[in-house]
Amino acid sequence: MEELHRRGVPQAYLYGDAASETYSELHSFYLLVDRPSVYGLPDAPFNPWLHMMGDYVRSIAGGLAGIGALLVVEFLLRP
Amino acid sequence: MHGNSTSGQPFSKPPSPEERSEGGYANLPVTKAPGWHGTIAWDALFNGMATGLFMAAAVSELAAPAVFTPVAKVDYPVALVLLLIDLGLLVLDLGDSPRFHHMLRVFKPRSPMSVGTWCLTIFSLPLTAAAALSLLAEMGKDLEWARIVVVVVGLLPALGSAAYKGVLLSTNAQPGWKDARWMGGYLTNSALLMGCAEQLVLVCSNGATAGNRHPAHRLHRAARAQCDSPGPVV
Repeated sequence: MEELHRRGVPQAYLYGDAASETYSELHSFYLLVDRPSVYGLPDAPFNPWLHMMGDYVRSIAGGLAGIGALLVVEFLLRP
Repeated sequence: MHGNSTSGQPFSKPPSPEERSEGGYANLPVTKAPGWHGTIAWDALFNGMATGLFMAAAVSELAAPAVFTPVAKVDYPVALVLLLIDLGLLVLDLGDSPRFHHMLRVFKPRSPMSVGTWCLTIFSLPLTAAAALSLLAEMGKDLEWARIVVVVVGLLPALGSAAYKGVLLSTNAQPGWKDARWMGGYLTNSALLMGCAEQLVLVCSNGATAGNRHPAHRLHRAARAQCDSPGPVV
């Protein structure tokens, strides 16, 4: 990296070599000379699995809410 | 989905020199476009329709059997057909048919796709049994207790099969999709409401052909009133 900066490419940097808050070591990194989004890489990678369990809970809750509403209507319709 | 995604390539076409100005990167896609296309949208719809119909029929039949059993017997075969269409779409989207079977060689709870393939596979068994028992009941062999058992067994896999889709669609790094915390809640809830609507359609169409069978007639008249009224379905 120092070599590149010396030779006149000051905007070169490594992407993915350091662990971020949400990811541990990525085990692969890129040498980029522009914003990550230019290369199709996310600017601030966020580990999607952190919110997966919460998403499941919300998903089941949505289903149970529908089932609950259905049961309420059916019990109200009882003769 | 991405409006400008054609194949799975990161950029649809290289920017022309006129576009490559100061803010020239504005027209380029931000992340690599995923390989989802129309098939997945139809798959999400049929997934909701199949699991929702089963759940609505099962809950209705267990809560108010006198009213709902006749229509439930029509619901389960229809739900099975919808599930088969859904599985066909999934296999079609994979491109390589045996890959669905290959996904069943592992179980990774941390992968929504693995959870989904297992839930759908497990769900298909009680659904097939319920559909078969319903058709047998129509032909005269009435095995009520077996069908109730099978329906109860199928409730949890049905809920899992409905719930995994939204979680799968939001557990990624695509901008927008990754922030959709309630995608799963929305799709599961809408699956159940679609199931109620499908039940309504089946009652309306079934009542017209089956005549005035007593337990269904009450439900049919209520459904008729709802079909004719301009109000919302559920």
